[in-house]
Amino acid sequence: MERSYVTIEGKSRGYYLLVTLLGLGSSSLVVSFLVAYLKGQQMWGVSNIIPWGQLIILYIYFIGLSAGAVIISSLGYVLKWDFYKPITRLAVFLGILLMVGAMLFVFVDLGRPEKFWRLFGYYFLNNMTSLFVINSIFYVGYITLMVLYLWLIFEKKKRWATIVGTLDVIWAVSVHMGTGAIFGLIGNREIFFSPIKPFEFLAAALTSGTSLIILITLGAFKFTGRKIQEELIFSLGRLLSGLILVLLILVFVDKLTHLYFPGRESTLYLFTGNYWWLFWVFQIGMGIIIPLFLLIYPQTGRTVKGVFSASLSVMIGVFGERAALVIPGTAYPQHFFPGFIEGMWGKPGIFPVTIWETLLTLGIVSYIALLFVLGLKYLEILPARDNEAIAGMEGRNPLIETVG
Amino acid sequence: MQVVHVLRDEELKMSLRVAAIVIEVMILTAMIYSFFLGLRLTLSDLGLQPKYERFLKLALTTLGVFILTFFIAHLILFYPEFIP
Repeated sequence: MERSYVTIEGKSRGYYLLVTLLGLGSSSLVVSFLVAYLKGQQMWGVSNIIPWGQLIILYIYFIGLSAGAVIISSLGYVLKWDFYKPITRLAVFLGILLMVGAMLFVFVDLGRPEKFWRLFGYYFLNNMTSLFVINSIFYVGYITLMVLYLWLIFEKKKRWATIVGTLDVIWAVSVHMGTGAIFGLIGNREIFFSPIKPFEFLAAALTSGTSLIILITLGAFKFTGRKIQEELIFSLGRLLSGLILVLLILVFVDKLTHLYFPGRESTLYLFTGNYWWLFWVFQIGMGIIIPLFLLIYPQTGRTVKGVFSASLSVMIGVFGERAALVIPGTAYPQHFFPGFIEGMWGKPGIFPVTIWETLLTLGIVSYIALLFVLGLKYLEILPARDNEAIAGMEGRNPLIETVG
Repeated sequence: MQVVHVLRDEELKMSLRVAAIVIEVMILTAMIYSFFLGLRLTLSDLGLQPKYERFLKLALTTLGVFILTFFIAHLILFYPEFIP
């Protein structure tokens, strides 16, 4: 039987309160952007020593979440596992919004956002061999493909959805590996430099994307009064544990290689320097060890709460992983001519968390959450409950209007 | 006396610039509105069903607000005077 999808009614007090709060949160984006644009980027705490801050951390984090969500969505339409179909629309919609969020982060981080067009100049005023340029082209193609994919799913054009979905998944893999390559190919930053960085990025994207799908599915289904098949969550939990193991292997190989190499000071700085906690507590502890334990241990791995906790831990841990890459990676000085010319005085930098950058970050996150909440009201994203009508029926169905 | 005149001139220039920015922002608002309306109508002509319109409208409206914010910031920062 064809599965049906409906919009939520969205007329409850809770819904209006949520939309109001997210609207207010989004307005902080406007204010904080104005402040930074008029006063300069130092308002974000970035400097010549640490040029990338919260915005870049969130940018790579959101791209990872988007790529992970879209790859997970392929289980339903591309691999045709019907079991995962109830979450496909949700996953693709999230993928689009997260990518829009990622683009907003990098757009405001440019400092002079009106100059973004140069990335698409195709040899005019730009460097076509730059990974930023190559990735910009990837990103535009990725968003276009995702919108097309979601539209085909909405219109129930299954054959085309499978074709575009397959292309979109390949593109999503390229997009995130490309983002990993931005870091992995910077030879002068030892913490960044690694040929397996694109694969590590992909593995982190898949773990965080799967976790996000678990969390959002549980949240959206609970707050709209839908019953979720627990086996779907357990299945995603098993998938998540496998992905975390892959990530663990890649992180282990990467760090071991860096430690074996004679120029290991920056890696030692990552492990023991000012930001050791980002690596050990967040990346390793919350991103790998705690969720792996929660998922493998039978008493937690076979409960929804256990899988939920593991997913939440992964979400925080992978965010920490992005921060552990960007902040210590740039904070460690570059040794141009050791003893003579050292990048920014030869001392590791400190990154201050400023109110304006935090407000900007919260503003963009609120805006994306607002679009998601509005999307649930105006687009047929969630599967219907057993007693609800079939989406796409001729005329307006009163049952659809009363959902949520 | 001369100082008072200079101050008055400065105040006049400033208030004129504020008025000019308001007019410029109004013109830019009209342009952005026309652009997004054109985009929405083009999508409708291409066969986009009305069920997507509300969401599209909301998304484009918020995007328009962000663009206008940028224009206001840009005008204040880079064009503080009539004739730089």
